[in-house]
Amino acid sequence: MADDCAHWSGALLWPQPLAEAAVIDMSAVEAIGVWAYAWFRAHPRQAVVAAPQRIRDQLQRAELPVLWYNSLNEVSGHRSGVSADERSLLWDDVP
Amino acid sequence: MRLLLLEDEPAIRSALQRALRKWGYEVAAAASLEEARGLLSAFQPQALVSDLKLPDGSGLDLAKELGAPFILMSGYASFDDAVAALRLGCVDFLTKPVAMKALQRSLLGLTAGDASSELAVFVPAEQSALTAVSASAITSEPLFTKELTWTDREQGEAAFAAAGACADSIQERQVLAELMQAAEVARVVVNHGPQRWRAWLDAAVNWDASAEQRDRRQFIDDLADRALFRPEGVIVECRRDG
Repeated sequence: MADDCAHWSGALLWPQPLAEAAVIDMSAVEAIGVWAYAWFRAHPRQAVVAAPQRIRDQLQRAELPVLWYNSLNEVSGHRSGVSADERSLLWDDVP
Repeated sequence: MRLLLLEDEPAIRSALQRALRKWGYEVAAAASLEEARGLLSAFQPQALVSDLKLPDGSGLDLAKELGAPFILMSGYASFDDAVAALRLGCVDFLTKPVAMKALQRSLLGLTAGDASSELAVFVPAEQSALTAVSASAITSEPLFTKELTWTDREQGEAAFAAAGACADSIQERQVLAELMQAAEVARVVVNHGPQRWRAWLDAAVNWDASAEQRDRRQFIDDLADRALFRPEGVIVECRRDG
């Protein structure tokens, strides 16, 4: 999981490309503009780690579908969505 | 504190005078610049509360002569009036009809040096499709005043870089960025003092029904709710076009 982590940083106040990954490390983000809300809505249940409390408060007030974690260790203990094996079981597609 | 009240409308002058006295100020009232000048030597006002447009001139003229903190009131303020007032050290610029609560708050800011205020945004209603807005707490004797203009995103970002560099806190920079992104064509005056900065935005802001604009307005409202800056310095009423 830690291998698939994007590190966002700085003051993200104006629209710009945002790196996609299974986990976003926001520890170095100073601020995030409202323009980025659309990105989170397009990436529901996005795992985010180490976001400063002020940014976490802002995105939570906006009711964005974000999964918050304090550290990458926490994320690795969490399996989001349905795994390939589970999908196989659901579809009764067990080899 | 001795306040000189300058207002040409007798009914408004009388009501304001009563309110100011009730709040504990020593008040001398005048209806014109000439009458006010006649009171100066005997009364020696410590601050001025004045209408902008008077029969024999502008309240700004007397403010300039007096050199004391002042609050302006106007029903017809233009962006240029606001900028001129800012440059002269106007403490607050209230839109008529003046809400007594707003005036009382401005007077408290005037006496307290307004250390609590961090950001004021002024958007003249008649130019901006916005209503019921006011400026507040403009720092006196600014170290830096700069007017920025932009007509597209590229220019806006360049203007923001210059304006943002003046802001001490990331919250202030973010509010400015959100307002600049909400405006299509705009200009902003950034006033940077030793303790704080102010941005006056003159913008056609259309808070349309798009999700992004709703989010943006919600964000600004949230900040105001949490009193990161004084709510009266924020857009409080908006008109939806169409």
